[in-house]
Amino acid sequence: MKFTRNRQENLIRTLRVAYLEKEKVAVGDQWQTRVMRQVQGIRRARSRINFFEQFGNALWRFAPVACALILILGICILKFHMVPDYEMAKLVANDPMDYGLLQSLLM
Amino acid sequence: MMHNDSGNSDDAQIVGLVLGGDVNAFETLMLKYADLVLRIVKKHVNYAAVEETTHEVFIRAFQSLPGFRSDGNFRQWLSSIAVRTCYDYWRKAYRSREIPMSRISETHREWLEEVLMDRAGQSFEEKGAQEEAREVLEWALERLPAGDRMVLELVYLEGLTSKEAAKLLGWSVANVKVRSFRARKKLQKLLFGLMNDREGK
Repeated sequence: MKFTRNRQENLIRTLRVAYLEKEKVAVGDQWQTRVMRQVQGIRRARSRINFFEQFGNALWRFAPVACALILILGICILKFHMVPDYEMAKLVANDPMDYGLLQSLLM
Repeated sequence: MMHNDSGNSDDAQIVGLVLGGDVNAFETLMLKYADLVLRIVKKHVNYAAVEETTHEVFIRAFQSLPGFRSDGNFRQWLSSIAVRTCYDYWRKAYRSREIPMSRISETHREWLEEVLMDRAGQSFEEKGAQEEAREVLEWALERLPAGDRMVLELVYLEGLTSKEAAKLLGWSVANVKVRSFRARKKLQKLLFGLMNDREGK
């Protein structure tokens, strides 16, 4: 059989009718409820993520304050010649009770 | 596609509400465009997958809402999502080979011969409405790659211009033209091959 242009056109036109017939198939509407349920779920998941994001953002806001505090403490330590180990030892040595304990341990 | 300015601004307002946190407003959009999406999906996927694909279209639309331009046409935007979801459905189906291939019988071959020879004296509408028409079409489309299938349906079966099809698929116009031409050739080869088999027997 020869497939002339006319035959090809006939075939395409007929198949176009068959294709458009598919539109007439009836479909229920249960899917709409399922869509809305899933949409609500997505929103809840997003708001949960948002909470963690907000918490993270709030935490970062304190970072400059923490840096400033570290800086001030550092300056204080340098300015008053404070050496933490030495200060601690002095504190222990000045305490008569601890002094006795320390001595007894050393002896 | 029809352009309705007031409709567009209404849609943009509803989109604004949804993005502002009123998720229930999405139902208004869904009910308004359910018929449009169903019409698209019914034509492109198998009957059994219509509900599932329509569901997927609206979920994708909801998730893509932040990307919707408020001055854009919601109808067109949603149609594009629907067409691309159907395209993805076929891509996934072909990759996983989930779709059982339909078979062709002697009745289908007879129907095809009648159409080609224009013998039965029926109109295109009468011949196209027959069960065999749909089955032959499905048989042939199942054997084409997802992209060829989609472009063929949009350009030759729905009668969209290359520009319209390109917009819906997110392809270039040149790509649509080349692929639709090749897809049509493949379809013809498949169907005429069917006829040649019959003659050879």
